[in-house]
Amino acid sequence: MITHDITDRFRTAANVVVPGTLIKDTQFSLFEAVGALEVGDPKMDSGCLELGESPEEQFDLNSPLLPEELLWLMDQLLNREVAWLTGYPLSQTLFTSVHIDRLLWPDPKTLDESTFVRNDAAQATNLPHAILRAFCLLLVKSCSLVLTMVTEQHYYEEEDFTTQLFNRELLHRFSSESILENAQYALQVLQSANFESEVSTALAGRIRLRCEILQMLVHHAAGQSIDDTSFQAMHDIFDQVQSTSSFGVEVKDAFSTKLQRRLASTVPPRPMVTVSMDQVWTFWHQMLYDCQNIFSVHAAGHSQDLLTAYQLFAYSCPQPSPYPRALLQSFLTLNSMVASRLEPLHFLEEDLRSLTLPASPLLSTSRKDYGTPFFGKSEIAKNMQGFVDKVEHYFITVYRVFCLNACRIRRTFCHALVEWDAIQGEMEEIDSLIQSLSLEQPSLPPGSSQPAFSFSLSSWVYHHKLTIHRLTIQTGIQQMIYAPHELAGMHYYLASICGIHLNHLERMCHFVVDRDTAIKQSDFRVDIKAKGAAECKMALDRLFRQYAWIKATNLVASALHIIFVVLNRWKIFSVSKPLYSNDALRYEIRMKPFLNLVIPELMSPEEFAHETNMQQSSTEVLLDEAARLSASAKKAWEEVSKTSWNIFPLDEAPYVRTGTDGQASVLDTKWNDDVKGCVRASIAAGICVVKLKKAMHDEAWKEKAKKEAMLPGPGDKGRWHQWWLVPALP
Amino acid sequence: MSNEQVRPSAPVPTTLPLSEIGKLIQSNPPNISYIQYDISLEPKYLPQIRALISKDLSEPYSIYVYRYFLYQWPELCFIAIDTTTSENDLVAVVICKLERHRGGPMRGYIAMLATQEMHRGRGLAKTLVSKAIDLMIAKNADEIALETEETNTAAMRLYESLGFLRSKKLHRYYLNGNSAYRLLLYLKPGVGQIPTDDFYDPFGYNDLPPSAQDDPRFPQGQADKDDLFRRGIV
Ligand SMILES: CC(C)(COP(=O)(O)OP(=O)(O)OC[C@H]1O[C@@H](n2cnc3c(N)ncnc32)[C@H](O)[C@@H]1OP(=O)(O)O)[C@@H](O)C(=O)NCCC(=O)NCCS
Repeated sequence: MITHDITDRFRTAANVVVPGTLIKDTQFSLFEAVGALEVGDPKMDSGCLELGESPEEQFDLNSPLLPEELLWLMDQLLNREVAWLTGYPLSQTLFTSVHIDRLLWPDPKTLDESTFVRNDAAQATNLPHAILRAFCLLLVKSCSLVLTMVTEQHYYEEEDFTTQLFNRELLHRFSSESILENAQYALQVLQSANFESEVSTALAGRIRLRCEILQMLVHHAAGQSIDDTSFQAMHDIFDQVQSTSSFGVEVKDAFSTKLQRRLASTVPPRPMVTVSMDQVWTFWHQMLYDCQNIFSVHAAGHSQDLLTAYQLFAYSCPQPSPYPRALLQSFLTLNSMVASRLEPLHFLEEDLRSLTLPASPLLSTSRKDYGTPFFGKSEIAKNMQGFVDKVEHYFITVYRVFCLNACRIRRTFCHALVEWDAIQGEMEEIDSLIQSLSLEQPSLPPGSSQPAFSFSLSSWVYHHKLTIHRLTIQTGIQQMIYAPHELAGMHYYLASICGIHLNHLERMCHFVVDRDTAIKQSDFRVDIKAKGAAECKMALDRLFRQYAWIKATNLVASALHIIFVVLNRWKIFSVSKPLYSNDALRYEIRMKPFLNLVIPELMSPEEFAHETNMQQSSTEVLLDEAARLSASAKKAWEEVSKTSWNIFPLDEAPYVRTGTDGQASVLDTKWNDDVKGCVRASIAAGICVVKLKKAMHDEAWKEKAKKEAMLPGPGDKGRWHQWWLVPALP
Repeated sequence: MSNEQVRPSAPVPTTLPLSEIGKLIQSNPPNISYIQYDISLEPKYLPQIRALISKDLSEPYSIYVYRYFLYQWPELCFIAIDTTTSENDLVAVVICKLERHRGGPMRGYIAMLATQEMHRGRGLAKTLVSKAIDLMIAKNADEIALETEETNTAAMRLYESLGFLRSKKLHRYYLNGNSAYRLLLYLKPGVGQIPTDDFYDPFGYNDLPPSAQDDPRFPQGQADKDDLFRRGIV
């Protein structure tokens, strides 16, 4: 490298420029401004040193380590690993460890070369170092497996995970076996050492813990869970590790941000990120539970139940961290099968069969049973193929969305909605073609005076689209996207989408019943007729279940709609005017995700305001209605709670883990908690209504409520369910 | 039957043009003067602006970030000074920009806002923001956007009391790991329909590895370019 001192030239040039002149490249973007460094500012310039400060970290890797210091180092590494697993870059977490740095740089060509001090025979016989090295190798290899899992799935850089490795390979080329073997050796060494027994056991526990973690990750990479014994063992070791953490003795300078200088010269120094030790244990326990529990989705024997299972994980509180979410995502494509069960095509057909196409010759998997010799058979097959090609990917993507971070779930749904809307239009065309080719006879749907055709494919699309539509609104409520004064309108809108969905489900039911009748009257073989009838019954079961759920949702939403209308009338959550805005402009922002939908078409702002505010009804009348609605909502959720998360028989695959010791399976528990939360929210809504009724003429209460009324945030007391934002009133 | 329900909520002053709103919002507490920024003020006020802003930042902005805004949109920066101090010290500041957002709407962006602790609650921030908004309206802005930390109720209330709505939540938006809300204000009807050269790229729909799509090193592939400006209170 050739260097020139440009200080003088720069000073001379700068002197010519009058203060206030900006010399700026037109292409210089905000991105670059934010990334730019201020030379000479120690907070930004990683090359800037205090007078007499050494550019290198001070730590001497040859100095002997006490067993208690070893223990401290290990716990610190566990801590920084947690920070990394929650999304912070390696440069601010594990790569601030001098020990990790030396193991990985220069890039070791053999595992033996990966040591704290290279080419030093004395190191090999240094007991504490051998033990720490084993721990670090296990740690780094685990990181490598975590990274592979996450980056093979869809994730958001920096939001979920920061993958920058700074050319460090994370022992990618060395097998997990060789690293586990080395750990066994270290455990023997540890036994032979003359450490005080308590500390020695504590250290051995940490190495064993790391071995267990690595083995777990190796299993995950192969799509397998670990057995319950290892799982329990891991928790036990964690408890032991936690209880001995206080033995640790700090090792000064073992972690340093100065290492960042060697990682990348153009990045400003960034502070080390650590978490509290309590968070370390909580995080690890949670992550282990999440990983293990996530395998229970394999019990789902049907596309619908799988969707329920994915949702239950997505809306767990706290949401699983990035690694378990990636693991859950990986099941969608494991060995090219969806949840180890079906090829994507068959998975899609399973869903169609249980919604709009029971016993249908349109599905490749039923064609041979229900096939009828139309002359247009091959045309129909071609159109069906068109449908499958178009939709398969979008359908699997719905499951994938539930593996994203909560904010992205909502934002991705907003986009997905527009896509499903477009697909629906295209599918209507395919439906029409199939309709005429198959000489379908129209029939009279409920509440209609016009005979109609089944439109089975677009009807299926519409059903899923309405689900996405509802979830877009509900995740908005979950994430407190809506300001208090908007909640009347948004609950009205939620209830109205549910209403549309209920009508659609009735229509779907009608055509399934038609199909059932047709099968029963057909001259198919007896066993085929029986199978067809069973398929129709399954579809009806599923449609009823959907109906019950959405009806219950509709009732709570309607009750809350009124509650917020009344609060608005009493100006309890209102914003003062004037504003740089009006209702129509705000409506446009709020409804942006729905603005361009062909169906359901968005109502005008005036109509929306009219429906929301219900000016024509008195507050008394409204509150009576809300009391009735919240009572019905409670009953409806109680009905739902009598069912289980799965509609279809559980899959008998070897993966199925029904909880140990006769406990309910994880999904049963999650489901029950979820529905119970909805029951409680309905009760809370009822209580709200009672309070409001009492306060009808109580102006003092209203003034008090203006100050004290609150919306419980996620995790707050009184937030009975993420979906349901019941106001806390005095 | 009570009669309070028949009374419609206070009529929205829809007839009032947006350019008239500012007057109703801005306040003039004693001993405070508002000044529109100008490059010539840099020697005196930039150090104070930096000091005030960086108080609430986990990590400092470089001088380039300040100059990026202050040189390109000096007029969209407003400061409040305390006239009782001998040096007319700075007590509050707002820094903004205004440009076309991804080839679509003319977007005002409120980048930084802070009031010195002693002077909070006196309407300074609201007045400064209002002045900036007035100028953006005069310069034909279609919309105004900003981000604020999800726990920053003071800021959220302030913006919502001006008419902003939360449009989305941004996971781990700031370098300190906190999430943010994007807040949005439309100034004209139809802004939501102005096309942008936004390429929303639903994952897996093309064959890019997902990680590459949001790589910060490829800002043009970012879901939102402003997402890059994610350090502290902005
Ligand atoms: C947010 C901040 C700029 C507000 O400054 P301020 O000058 O005190 O604000 P104002 O007096 O103009 O307040 C205007 C409105 O904001 C809201 N607000 C301000 N402080 C609030 C608080 N502590 N709690 C609740 N609402 C508050 C109120 O709605 C208030 O209107 P009101 O007084 O009529 O009720 C100030 O708290 C600050 O500097 N915070 C740290 C930096 C920061 O968070 N910047 C915002 C980045 S987006």
